[in-house]
Amino acid sequence: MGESLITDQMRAAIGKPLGGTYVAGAVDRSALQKFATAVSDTNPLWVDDEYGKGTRWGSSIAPPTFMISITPQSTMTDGHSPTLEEASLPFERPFKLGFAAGDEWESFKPVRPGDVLTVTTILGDIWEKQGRPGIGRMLFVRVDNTIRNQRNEVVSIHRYTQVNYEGPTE
Amino acid sequence: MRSQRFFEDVEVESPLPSFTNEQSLKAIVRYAWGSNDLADVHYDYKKAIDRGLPDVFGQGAMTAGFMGKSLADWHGPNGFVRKLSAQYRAFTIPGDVLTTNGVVVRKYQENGEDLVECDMWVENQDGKRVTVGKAIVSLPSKEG
Repeated sequence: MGESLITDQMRAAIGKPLGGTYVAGAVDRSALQKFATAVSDTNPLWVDDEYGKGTRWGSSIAPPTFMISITPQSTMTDGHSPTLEEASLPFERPFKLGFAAGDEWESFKPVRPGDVLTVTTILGDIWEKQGRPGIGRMLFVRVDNTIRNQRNEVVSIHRYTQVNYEGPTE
Repeated sequence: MRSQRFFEDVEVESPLPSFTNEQSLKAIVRYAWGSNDLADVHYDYKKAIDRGLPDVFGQGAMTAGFMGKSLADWHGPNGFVRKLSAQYRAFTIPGDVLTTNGVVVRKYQENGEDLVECDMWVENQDGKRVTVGKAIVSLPSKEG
């Protein structure tokens, strides 16, 4: 497989912050409504406060994967892919092609409309693999977003993995 | 109020309700809109072709969102998805028919929480698992 795609510069960046604190702002009801619609989810708990009052939460809350819509990797994307360039990666990646390889949402507390969220991001991990022909060598980069509310409580950690790949080699 | 599922009533190996979506181009654009993901390979056909893809492709995270819906439909108003991880294994394109499935694999208690672990997957019309995932759901107990 030849020499590693992972440089010393990449290795040194693992566990380090990427960019500063990102202010995602207040969670508004229309954003929750839009997100629920986007995943074909008609659950009233995401949009209806009256319904939410009858639950242990006392209000509507955000759906399970909503946090992906407020991270710096999503909202700073302005029409090109791969999207991590704008997340202040402190190194060049070897290939031009990329796509999302996976996500993980770990949730500690519910997020409610009006909550004001901030995000801090670290470079979680980097690893490599050999893909099938047409994909070729692959470099995986995981970023870990820690999301806090206005009380400085960690509500969620969203981990996003993007693969950067070689593509067809004749 | 939707019906509530309690920890005591969960049996390992029982399935979560499955549901099917046709993934239209409109649904892909709608997810771009709802999730603030403006990566252009999800709606710009020429750019997708330039990258050697057969068509624009659906966001992997949309299929994870389907898993979130399935889990919340199953756990009821007072349950909570504590963790959901998803791996995107294959491209999906407009016209694909995606079915979201899940099964309970374990129930246990940890730090005073009643938890259920589920295997989740989304398959296309050929039965290929385009996304696979794991979830941990917190459920209320009848004992309160």
